[in-house]
Parts: sequence; structure tokens; C-alpha cells
Amino acid sequence: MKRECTIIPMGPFHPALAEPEFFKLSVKGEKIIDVEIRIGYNHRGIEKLAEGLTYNQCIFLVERVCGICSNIHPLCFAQAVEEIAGVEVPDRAKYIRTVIAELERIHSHFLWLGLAGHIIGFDTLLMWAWKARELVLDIFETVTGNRQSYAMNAIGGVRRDLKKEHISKILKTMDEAERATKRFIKAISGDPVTLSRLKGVGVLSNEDAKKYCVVGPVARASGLKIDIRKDYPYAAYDEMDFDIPVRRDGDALAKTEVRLEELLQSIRIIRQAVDALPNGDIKCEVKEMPEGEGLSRGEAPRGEDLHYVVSNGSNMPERVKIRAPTFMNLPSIKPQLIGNTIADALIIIGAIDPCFCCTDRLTVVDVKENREKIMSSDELLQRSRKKSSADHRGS
Amino acid sequence: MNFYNAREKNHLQIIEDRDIVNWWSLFHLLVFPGLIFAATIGLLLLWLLRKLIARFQWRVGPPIYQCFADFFKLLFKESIVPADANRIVFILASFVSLSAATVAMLLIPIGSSQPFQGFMGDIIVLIYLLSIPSIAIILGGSSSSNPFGAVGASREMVLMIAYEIGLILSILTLAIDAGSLMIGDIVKYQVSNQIYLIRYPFAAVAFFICVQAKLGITPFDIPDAKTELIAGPYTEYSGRLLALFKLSHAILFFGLMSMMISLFFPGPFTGVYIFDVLIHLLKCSIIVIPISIIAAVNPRLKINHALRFFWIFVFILAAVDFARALLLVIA
Repeated sequence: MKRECTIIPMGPFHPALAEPEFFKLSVKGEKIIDVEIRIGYNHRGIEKLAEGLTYNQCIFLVERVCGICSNIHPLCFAQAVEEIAGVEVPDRAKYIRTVIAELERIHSHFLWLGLAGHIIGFDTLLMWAWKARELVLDIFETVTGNRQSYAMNAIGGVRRDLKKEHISKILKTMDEAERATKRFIKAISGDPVTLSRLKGVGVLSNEDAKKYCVVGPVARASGLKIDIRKDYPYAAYDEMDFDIPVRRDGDALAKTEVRLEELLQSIRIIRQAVDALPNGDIKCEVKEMPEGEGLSRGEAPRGEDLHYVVSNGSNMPERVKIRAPTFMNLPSIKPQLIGNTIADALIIIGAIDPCFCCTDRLTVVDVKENREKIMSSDELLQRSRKKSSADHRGS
Repeated sequence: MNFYNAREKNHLQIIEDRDIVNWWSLFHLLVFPGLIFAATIGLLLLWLLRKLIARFQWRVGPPIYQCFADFFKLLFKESIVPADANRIVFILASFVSLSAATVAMLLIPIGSSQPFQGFMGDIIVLIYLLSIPSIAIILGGSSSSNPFGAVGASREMVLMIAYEIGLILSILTLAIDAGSLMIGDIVKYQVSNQIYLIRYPFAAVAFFICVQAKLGITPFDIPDAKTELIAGPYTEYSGRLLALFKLSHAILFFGLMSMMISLFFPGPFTGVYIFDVLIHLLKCSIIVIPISIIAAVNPRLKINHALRFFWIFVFILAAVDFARALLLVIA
């Protein structure tokens, strides 16, 4: 049995994957019969690093967990810390957080749409989707000064205010983004070749979706109506009126449709939020940090993001735990891949919108004794020192 | 003794005669319309394709010398042959590909009704020569000992099986109608009668689609699908060997465009050869436009979809005109 199949290594470096991750596909002809997923090429030890930084510094550290969801991580972290400190964030800050979070979702979904197009060899879609994404990046640059890593969140509020001229620019851009989205929906649903590449590809059944605890658009494409924004509202989402798009098919097309509809919903939320933007402060003072623990969840563009912070009363967190959405979605690739062809492998992996650098943990797997061990930062450091000194000796 | 001398003399005579011919054929092979001319025009046409696609995608696109720069850059890079590869096949594949494409240029009329080295049945030789680059890349990919190369080669093979039927059937249609297996006769017949684009539009469409697949342009860039197979059969090729493949691809591009013109809409011939060639090149550029539109508005097909598409849709198109040609000849 083993000898009959070929091993196709997808990664760790592959032109379609922007980040290093390894998918070992066992194929028979073009058909995938087994897959082994290895993560951990991008481990940076952020959780450990956070233990040596003050809360204000941590905000900037967790912002760098991911380049694309660079708002939701600091937002969740700040919310967790605010929970420990027991402060109430001003309403205006909540609304601004909502606007930035939804703008981030728009930019992320456009980015994904382009990448999905690139993966199926539709480079025109890539270029057009990224052109639409530039609209949102322009807003970010105007409002926050950065196209990426906006540094908008602070503990107790946001760092920058939304000015009047920003709002008119946002509203104008939303009209353009809506037109672009509608055009994409029409283009994708009307093109038989694109449909043939997406329809019925990488089906994640409702049962599997529950079994693998998938989150975000992947779950919603498999018929699970979950969304942290509705289920456990944070920021100003409880005052917003929006729908959760759900599909039952669970294939790549369903995931695309869910994301495209979410774009329209995000535009709807932003319009409401900037219209109803309350006056007042954008930040409240956090006087002292008591001992305690805080847990916060947010709906990142890729799904549920979870931050857990333990405080020991000092100005540094005792423990930070981050669970990025891809960590939950990645294992579900396995049932989606098996039975499909190599041609579909990348779009299936791409359809969960993976963000590997959010995800990576280093796990040492001892195959002989069949036991796993998570390495600590110190061990990694020692290992690296040992290796570099060995290299020096060698050279 | 005399007998031997006579034979030897005769033999020498033949060699001398051939030498005179050979100098001209060498010129045709290496300069015009062979290697240098075809490669230059091919690279320019590829640039036009890239530029047009870029404009459709709202990009600026490459400058006109880009394809030449790519080629010369590759020439000065190191070629690495993988340790596990079948060295001879791996290296030879690129040379075979280039030489077949170059020789094919001698059999394709450019700006005239007569190819440079036409003979009876040259269209059959041409079909063979034009499929050698694909076979070379299948060999190169599978000898490279790279799994992506192997999968890419198998896809190239399936794609070849898919498009060759449509390609050959549409050429045969014209050969039957013109009553000759010489490409020169097919062109002459059209000049004196009606161009085949009007008489056999379905065959023209089938031929056009097959050419797109043969050149591996989106939506048929299945064997070297970048996001699936890295570079497919070309994965292990680098430096000069890759440059040779790029060059043979450029020559093949120009060759197939020229063939399409000769088979379906040759002429009008002004009589001045330079103008005829310029008209020919203009027509080549015009064909690039629909190719670039198709490439820009379509994602890549899957290999099984491509196979179904060619065996059902393209085959029916080609078969309809083939049947019409047969009926016309019988009647």
C-alpha cells in the first residue's frame, strides 16, 4: 500500500504559501489519499516574550502576532487586561474599535479573495481584488498613519480619534468597496470555469466542522451559525444591526460566498458605526492592575481569536495565552483534502484563509516513544546557542 | 577499381552540391526564419502577451526588453543538474526541444505561400516536429527525479493526449479540402479560392484553442501550474538549460502563430517580400489579442476538466468541419 503512493511535499517553502508550513501529501496519480500537517516553522515565542514586557508594551508585541489581523490581537489583549483592571471603555473608543476591526475584515477578505484567485490561476482576480483592498489601506494610512500594524488600540481605549474628514473619506470609500464587492460576487457566480474550480472542492461536512471545532468563515460555510460578534458581543457590536451569512455546502465556493457576503455586512456595520459615533473621550485611565485573570474573545477575519491574561498585580502579565483562529481551522484541512486532487490541494488549504504565523507552536514529537513535548523558550534558546556554537566550531 | 573511383567521385559531387545548398539552409536554420529571427519575434510576441494581460489586470506590465533580459540573465546563470536525475536525458531534453522548434520554422511559410524547405508531406513532419518540444519537456520533467517534475510531466502528457486530436483533425480537414499534404499547397489554394477561416470556422476555433493548450497559456497552464506544482516539469531546470526551454517556447509561440495564419488566413501577398513579412507579423500580433483576453478572464482549468473539454467540445468542433470537408470532397 505504502509503495504505491507518491509523496508530494507541499512546503515548507512553496510559491503559493506565503508562510512556511509543511503539508506532506500522499498521492496516487493525482488523488490525495493521505496528508500529514506539520506546523512550527514560524515559532517566535510571543507568549513567553509577553511575560517580560509591560502591558503597554505587550499591546505592540501582540500586534505583531499577525500582519493581517494586526488589530484583533491587540484589541483582544486590551479587552482581557481591561477585564482584570475592571475599567469601562468610553463609548466613542468602542465605536472606533468596531470601525477599525471591520475595516480590517474588509482588507483581509479582499486579500484572501485575491490569493484564492491566484491559487486557482486567476491572476486577474488577484490584481482586481488587491486594487479594491488598496482603498481600505488608504483609509488606514489616513486614520492611523500605517497601512499595516495600525497601533490603534491601547489599554482603556484607542490611541487616535476619528476626525470628521476621516468619516467622510470612510463613507466614500465604503461606497466604492461595496461596488467592487458586488462586482466580484457577480463575476464569480457568473463564471463557469471559476465555479468548476470551487464547487464541491474541499467539502467540510457539518459533523466534521463540529468535530474539529472550526471557527469563523470556515464554520459558517459548513452551516454552523457562530460569530463572536453576535454570540458574545464586544466593542460596539451589540448596538450594530448585521446578519451572519451561513452556507451549508462546506466547499470552497461556500467559503468564498460567506466571505464575500461578510464584506457587505462589514460595510453595513462601518456605515452604522460612523453614523452613530458618540462624542466623548477615546481612552480611560487605568490606575492600577489588581491580581486576577482576564479572558477575551474577538471575531478576527479568520474566526474566533482568544486572549487569556493572568495578572500578578505588577505592571507585567504573569501569563499570556493566545489562540489564533487558524490553530483551530488547520486540522480540518485533513478531511477536506483526502479524496481530492493535487490541483485542488492549495485552494483547499487556501480556503480556510490560513495564517500560519499566528498559529505556530513548537512541539517536539518523539516518534520512538510516541510522546510529545512542548519546548519552552529557554530550551529553544539553549538549542539555538548549542547549534550556533557547533556551527562556529565547524567553520 | 574504376567502379570504386567512379562511386567515390560521384559521392563527392553530391556532397559538394549539398554543401552549396547547406550554406543556405544553414542561414535559414540559424538566422531567417530559424533561430535568431523566430526567437526575436517570439520573445517580442510573448512580451506583447504579457503586456496585454498586465493591462487587463490594471498593471503597468513589463518593458519591451523584458523577455530578452530574462533570457540573457538565465544564460549567465549556473545550470544545476540534480544528483538523482538522469543526466543525459535531463540535459538533452532542452536541446531537443530547441532544435525541433527551430527546424519546424523551416517548414512554416512566413509571408509567402512557400515554406523555405517544403516537400511532399511536410505537414505531417511539421505536426511531429511541433509535438517534440512537449515530449522533450515530458522527458525532462520525469528524468529530473523531482516529484513536482513527475506530476507536471504526467499532466503535460495528459494535456497532449487531449489537444493533439483536435489539432491534427483540424489540419487534416484543410489537407483534405486542398487535396494536398503540403502546407504550401494549402496556402496557395486559399490565395486562389477562399480563406479557410471563412470556409471552416469551427476547425479554426478548434485549432486556436489547441494552440493555446500547446503553448501552455492560461487556462491551460496546467503542467507548470505555479501555485500547485511550483514549476511542474521545469522545477529542476535552471540557468542555460532553462533558457533553452524559454527560447524554444518563444520559437514555438511564433511558429504556431505563423502556422495558424498560413492555415486559416494567409495573404494578401503584395509581391514585395519585406512587406509580406511585415503583414505576417502584424497578423501575429493581432492573434495575441484574443489569446491574452482568454488568459486574463479565466482561471486555470483542472487537468480532468481540460481533458473533458478537449475530447468533447473541441473534438466536436473539429469533427464537424472534418465531416464537411469529407462530404465536399466526395460530392
